[in-house]
Amino acid sequence: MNKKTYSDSMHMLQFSADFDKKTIEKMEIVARKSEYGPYDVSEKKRFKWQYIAFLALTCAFAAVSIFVLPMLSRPEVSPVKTVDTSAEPSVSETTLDEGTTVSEVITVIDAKQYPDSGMDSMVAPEPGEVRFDEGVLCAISDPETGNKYFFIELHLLADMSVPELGKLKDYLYAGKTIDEWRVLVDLANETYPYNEYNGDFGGNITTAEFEAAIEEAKKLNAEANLTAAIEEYNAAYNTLYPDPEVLRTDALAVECSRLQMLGYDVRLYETWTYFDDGQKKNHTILAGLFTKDELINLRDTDVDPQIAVIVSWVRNGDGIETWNASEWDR
Amino acid sequence: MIHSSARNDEIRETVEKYRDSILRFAYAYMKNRAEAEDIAQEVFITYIEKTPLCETENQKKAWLMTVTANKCKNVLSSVWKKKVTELPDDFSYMPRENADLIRFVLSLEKKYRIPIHLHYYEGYSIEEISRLMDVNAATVGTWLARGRKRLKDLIGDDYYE
Repeated sequence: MNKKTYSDSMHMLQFSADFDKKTIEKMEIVARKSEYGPYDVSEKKRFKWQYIAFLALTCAFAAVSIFVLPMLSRPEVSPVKTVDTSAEPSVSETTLDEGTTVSEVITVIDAKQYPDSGMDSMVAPEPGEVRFDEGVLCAISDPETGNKYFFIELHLLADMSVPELGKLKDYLYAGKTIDEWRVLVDLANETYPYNEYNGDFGGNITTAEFEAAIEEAKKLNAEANLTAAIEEYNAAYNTLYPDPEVLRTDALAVECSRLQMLGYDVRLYETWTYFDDGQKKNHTILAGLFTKDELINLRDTDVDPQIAVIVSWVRNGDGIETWNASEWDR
Repeated sequence: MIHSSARNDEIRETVEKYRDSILRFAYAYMKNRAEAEDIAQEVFITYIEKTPLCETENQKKAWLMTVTANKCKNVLSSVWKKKVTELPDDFSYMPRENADLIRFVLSLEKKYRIPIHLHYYEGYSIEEISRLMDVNAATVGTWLARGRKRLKDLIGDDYYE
């Protein structure tokens, strides 16, 4: 291919005249926010009280572990786990069926020690594949994280088709599926090479048949039909699901239940992000507390073959989110 | 903390310097101008939010390109993504030769058209594309060769040198 022609052609592409202006305005809003820092005064005060409360709770748990633990025998039932976080291992309370209490030391990894460089893989996982992003992978590789918990988000990538409509590619319009209309568009535009067409349709297509197919495609006004088909599908889709967020959270809830049934400590978790206008917006994600072994097990055994999963640290609009026991137990 | 006016200058400079590359790279992924603009805007905002430490302009560009690719990838793969982006763009304002070439490249599968775009528009080497895509260099070489072959089948020898 002629490099100059391609380069010139791409340069001819016209984008919105006010792209720079709008982008710069938004960037300046975000920059101004970051100059003031992530906390306002009231948040700082609240943080101080949370810190004191956290210390008090830690002391209480430590007292329980010192004075109550020795009086208990090791039970055989599975404990209900609560976890505490800090840079150092901390003591957490475990309630048992007998109504007695023991303590166990569990630590949640400080994810900020394993940040992403932003240079992670750009290739999306295939269905049935779990991909760890760079920070999580780095923590998994660290021998120091063997007994610690990973506070992670599971990003699900799955087919968005709905049962009422079926998949977009199979949607019927004017007697043909959208996939068939796409083939006809490619033929009509002569962007479907003979070799590829022949390979895709059994390998016995003659050039004469191929040319006839092109002529037929041109007569069928394929491009307009494809456009109309997609518009009709989208209109039906929007009627059924006016808010795509509902579909997304439904998919998260289904996967959440499945993983809980398998014994993983996962739940739908509320975090937040900055919206287009720089305002904070709440956002539901699928989050979990996993050990290193559980993450490997999820990847190697328990992943749903229909869903691709990317595992990353839990983030909010300001970056990696620190695990918080009260938020987790809510 | 960087002073506001210096920060604003940096914002303006970054957008002006990298806008063409980011918009067109996003377009090569998305095949839709409106979506490419949305993604490019998000990339620049992410740059300001995260303020990555880049020692050279090359590193800065590589960071922006990788974030662009990740955002495109996420949109293309997401559960809630509506597949309305495959409607052909209108290139009637371009000379036929240029419009055809863009259509041909966009008609290729993503794994072929992205290396082709990076090689022919950005001038990246196979090694650079391999690092950017996090794919083995030999694989990138194969994708480039297959992509070229398909383009040659589509447009004939005239455009080849």
